[in-house]
Amino acid sequence: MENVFDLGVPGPSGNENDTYFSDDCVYKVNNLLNCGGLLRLLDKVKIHNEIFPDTFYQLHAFTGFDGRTVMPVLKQDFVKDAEPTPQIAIDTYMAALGFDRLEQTGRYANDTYTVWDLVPRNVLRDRDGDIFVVDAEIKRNE
Amino acid sequence: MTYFNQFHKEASERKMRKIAESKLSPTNSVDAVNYMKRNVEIASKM
Repeated sequence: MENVFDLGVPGPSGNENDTYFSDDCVYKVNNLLNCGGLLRLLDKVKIHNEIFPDTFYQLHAFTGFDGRTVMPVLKQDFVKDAEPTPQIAIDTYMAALGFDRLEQTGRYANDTYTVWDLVPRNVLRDRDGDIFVVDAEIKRNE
Repeated sequence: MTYFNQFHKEASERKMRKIAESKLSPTNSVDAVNYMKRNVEIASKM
C-alpha cells in the first residue's frame, strides 16, 4: 500500500510499530527493528496466534519505500475497555498458561517457547479480570 | 487450535467471544486512539 494514512487515525507509536486505528481494528506498521527480518516476524506472528489466539494478528498489507525497505502491516482486533495490567497479574496469568517466570521482568518460558516484553503497556486487563496480550516478543526455544 | 491446558482454552474462547460481541458496537476511531494514548500514559507510571 502506498499511503499508510489510509489505514486510519494515527495512534501511539512504539519502538517497532506505528499504529493506526479504524473499524475497531489496530493496524501496526512494523519496521522489523525488533525481530530483524520478515520471516522472523511472520514466525513470531504465527506463535503469537497459537499462544494468544484472542489477540491474533493478520497480515494486512505491505508498505515501505520503493526499492529500499519493506514494512509489513499487521491487523489486530481492538480490545475495548481494558487497561494496562499490573506485572503481578501478568505473572499469574502466564503461570496459569504453564509458563515459568524468568529472572528478567516480563520474561517467561515453557518447554517450547520463550516470551518476553510482557509488561503493563503490552498487556491489557478488562473489568472481569480477563487478560489480553496485545504485543509480545516470542521465540521458539533452541 | 492446540491449547496448553483447560484454562488456556476457556479463557481464550471467552475473550474471543467478548471481542466479537464488542464489535457489534463500533468505537469512534478518534476516541479509540485517545483511549490507547491514555493507556500508554497509565502504563508508563506503573
